[in-house]
Amino acid sequence: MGRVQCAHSATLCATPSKARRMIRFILSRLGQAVVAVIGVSLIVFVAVRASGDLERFVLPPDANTAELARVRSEYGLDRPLYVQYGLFLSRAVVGDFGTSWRWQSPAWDLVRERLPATLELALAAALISTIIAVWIGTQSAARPGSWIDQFGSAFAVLGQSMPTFWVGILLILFFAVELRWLPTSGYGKVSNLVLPALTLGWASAAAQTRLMRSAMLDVLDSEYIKMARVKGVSEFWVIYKHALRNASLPVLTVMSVQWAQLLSGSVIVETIFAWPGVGRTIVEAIFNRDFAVVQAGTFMISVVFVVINLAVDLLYGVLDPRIRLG
Amino acid sequence: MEPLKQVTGERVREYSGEREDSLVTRMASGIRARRWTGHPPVLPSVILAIVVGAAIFAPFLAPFDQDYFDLGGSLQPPAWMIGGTSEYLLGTDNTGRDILSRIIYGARISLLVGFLAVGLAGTVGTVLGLVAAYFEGWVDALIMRIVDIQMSVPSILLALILSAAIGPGLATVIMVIMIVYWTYYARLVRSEVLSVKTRDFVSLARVVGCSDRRIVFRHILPNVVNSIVVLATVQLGTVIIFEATLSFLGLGVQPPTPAWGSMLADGRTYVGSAWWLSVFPGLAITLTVLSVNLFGDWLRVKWDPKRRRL
Amino acid sequence: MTEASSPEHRADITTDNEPLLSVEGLKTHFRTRDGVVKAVDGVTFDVHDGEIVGLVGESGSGKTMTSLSILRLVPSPGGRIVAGRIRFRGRDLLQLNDSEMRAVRGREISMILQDPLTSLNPVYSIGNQVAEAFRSHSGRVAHLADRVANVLRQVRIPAPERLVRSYPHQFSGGMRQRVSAAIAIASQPKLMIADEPTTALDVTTQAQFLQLLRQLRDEANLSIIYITHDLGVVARLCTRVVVMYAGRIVESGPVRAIYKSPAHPYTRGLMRSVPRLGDDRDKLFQIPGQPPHLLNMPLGCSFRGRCAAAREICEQAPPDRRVGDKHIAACWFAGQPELVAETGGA
Repeated sequence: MGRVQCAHSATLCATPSKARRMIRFILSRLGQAVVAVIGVSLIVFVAVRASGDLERFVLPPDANTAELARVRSEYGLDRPLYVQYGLFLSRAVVGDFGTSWRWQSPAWDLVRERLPATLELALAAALISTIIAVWIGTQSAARPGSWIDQFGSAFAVLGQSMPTFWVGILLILFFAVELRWLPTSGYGKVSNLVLPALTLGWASAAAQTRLMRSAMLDVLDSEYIKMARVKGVSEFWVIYKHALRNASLPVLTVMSVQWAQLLSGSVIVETIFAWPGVGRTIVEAIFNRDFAVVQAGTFMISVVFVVINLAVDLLYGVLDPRIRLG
Repeated sequence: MEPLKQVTGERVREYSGEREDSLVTRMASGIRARRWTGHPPVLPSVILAIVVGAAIFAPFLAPFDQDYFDLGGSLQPPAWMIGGTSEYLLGTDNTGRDILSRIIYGARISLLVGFLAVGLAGTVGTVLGLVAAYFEGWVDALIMRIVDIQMSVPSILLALILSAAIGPGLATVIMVIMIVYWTYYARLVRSEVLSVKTRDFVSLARVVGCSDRRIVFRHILPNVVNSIVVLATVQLGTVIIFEATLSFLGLGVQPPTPAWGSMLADGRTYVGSAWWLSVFPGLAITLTVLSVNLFGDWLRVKWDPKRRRL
Repeated sequence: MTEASSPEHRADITTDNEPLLSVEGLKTHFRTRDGVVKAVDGVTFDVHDGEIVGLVGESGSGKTMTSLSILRLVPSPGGRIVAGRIRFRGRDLLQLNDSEMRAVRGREISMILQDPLTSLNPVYSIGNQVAEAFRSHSGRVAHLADRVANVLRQVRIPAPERLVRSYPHQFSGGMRQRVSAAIAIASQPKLMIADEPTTALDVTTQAQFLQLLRQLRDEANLSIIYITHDLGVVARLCTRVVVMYAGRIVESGPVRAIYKSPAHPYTRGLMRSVPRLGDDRDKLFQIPGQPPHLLNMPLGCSFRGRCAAAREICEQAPPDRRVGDKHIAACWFAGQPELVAETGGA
């Protein structure tokens, strides 16, 4: 706040220090993000190469050395590792991740086509889990000891103890097999989305409920909450206007970790429900030694994750004026 | 899940305001605060004892050998349902193996991987965190950069890629989990050590002439140990689920060794017809993890009353 | 005061007009794991129009809990008002339902809290929070922005338009307390409870704030209950004083009388503890002993354990003795200064 002695160009000094700080913040975060993504791609690159010889996978077991050599050079596997990596990076920048040997089409396109499905799933799961967490968490904190508090706490602990794939199977068992309300797999209609999103959001909802409740309990002890009640503000607004916004600040930082879990979990959920998303594609590609797809897919997921982190950081700045204004 | 502070490090803000709490207010909130007593919670401890006992004494407890199968008696329902016998209490799977026995034997894998992997991750993470915090400078920056990068990848993906690289198996699982989870310890230890470092008794130790190693082990570490153990108990549940997930995807211990996760994978095909293949192993996982979590909660409260509400 | 007070004593207390607020036999108890904590144990006092009543006591004496009980904001679970009547403008507040009580809060009785740092919500602008004081009682408010600016001017905040969009953390403690005061007078209440509002402020700011309170009292005919442990402030600001100890009232009366001739041993001890310029002592006086744990309240006089004049009779609850015009003390020996003079140690 206040005036900052500016030794740079005049235009830079003309922008208010608030905006300048914001820009610096975004740039530094972006820089970190880029480094992170590159680092990830390196890890994936090395791991994938180390996972076995592609040529043996592509060709039938009785292939002779000549054929093996041919496939190797075809995929550039006979070059030194650092050369391969250099080539990979230079191509990645323009979006060329190579060709999927299995699908015989550009890896990036394959992955890109499947991204919407994963985002759809993750978004639905995030929405469901956040709504559940906010509702149960706040009610639970507002009425400690009540049945909703008992239920909320039980759900919070139990939900995190259940493995996601089991939740999925149970939900299928109950809703699809027993009740026949929803389909077991498939893609396209809302009814297809319900079970997968619920499965994916389950553990996240439990974790967030716990956090929300705890944060709310802390906040409800504050003096400004007492002040709001003293003013005569209705209990509804005390909780949903005054308490919630303050409680969500610490919860928000953990939510970005939650969303990483969602992207993680989508891998499993997509497998169980045969959901055509990036996660499932990557898993199949790993088993198929389809390097190109694995690289493209992980690259994409890390970019998405990094973007989400950045957005959360910015959101934090918006919600808490102390950060914004200094 | 990880306590707030460990995960978010510098970004958490403590919202507890400092105000003069009168005796009465403090005592009133004592009801809420004193939910836990001195001894561990009963049910979780019992369940944990059962699970550990099952793992250790499996050959004596399990009615059948883990590999025994009988194709003629496959897919038999649990004892209390029609078609079930008391011989196979929880039913049999698609090759006629007793579910109950396999669950008992499966406890071995889950607990072995759980403790070993957490122990290794904790050790590696703690060491690296200590190093980063003690030397600071470029060492710190390097280690933390690696941590940040690694945490940019969803853990499952990382595990999948590494498992595929090394090849599935028990050792792989343990190593992969160690690689995935060391970062949490490193971050935690680093932040705690950094804050402890600035406290007076460390400066005093230096003034007196203690060597670096002595300072670390005798002064800094004891203060940090509590948090490490708490994190470990919190993570144990997560790791058990993680192992089960890897087994479910076929990257864990290979058949015929029974693991809860792979049992569930086997059961997927028969969800419509033989639900017991999937439900019981999952129940075993859930109960175990639940007990671990509740026990961990108790431990956490016992050692740090400020976190009692989490 | 205890229930043992006889009617003739009570008659001496009341003035010609009906008191604005009349607290009778208020008891607020907390149920804890270790037993019942009697935070407020039979408190009776009045507040009249235009009065500034000082509520004095140490922390834990029950003064804050009394004020929260009046507003029925006793922290729960755990706390409950178990007995008493709180008559305000003809109605017993303890009989009101939730929405009726909510209409009273802020509108007819308002409160300023102790810590300016934490009593304003950090994520909302000052304008938002002041406006809320208006909006909570009348759904749609005409010329809201003007009314917000006006009330901020009323608490002597210069250029309120600039303030309205800013956030609490950008201002000093003194300013924030003024904002709290503005919120407290927004709906023109008849009674304001100020819970140690200047404890966290420096002396100069404190003086300004007290001046503000006096002005508000004059301008709006506001009655104030001023809760504090600072006897100096009480002397400067209040017309009447009520002294609390361990959840009970031990003495009450006009400021002059209390300061000139304190009748209760505890009050005498308090007066002696305040160092005065020109004092010849080399040691600061302290009332010996500790306040009793509210969990194990001794029977009879609660001050018994620390009182040099304690006798056997003090094992019974002392009555309210009248020692002067509207001046009452709950002590067996009130009005017998030669005995009471022994209190306060060497």
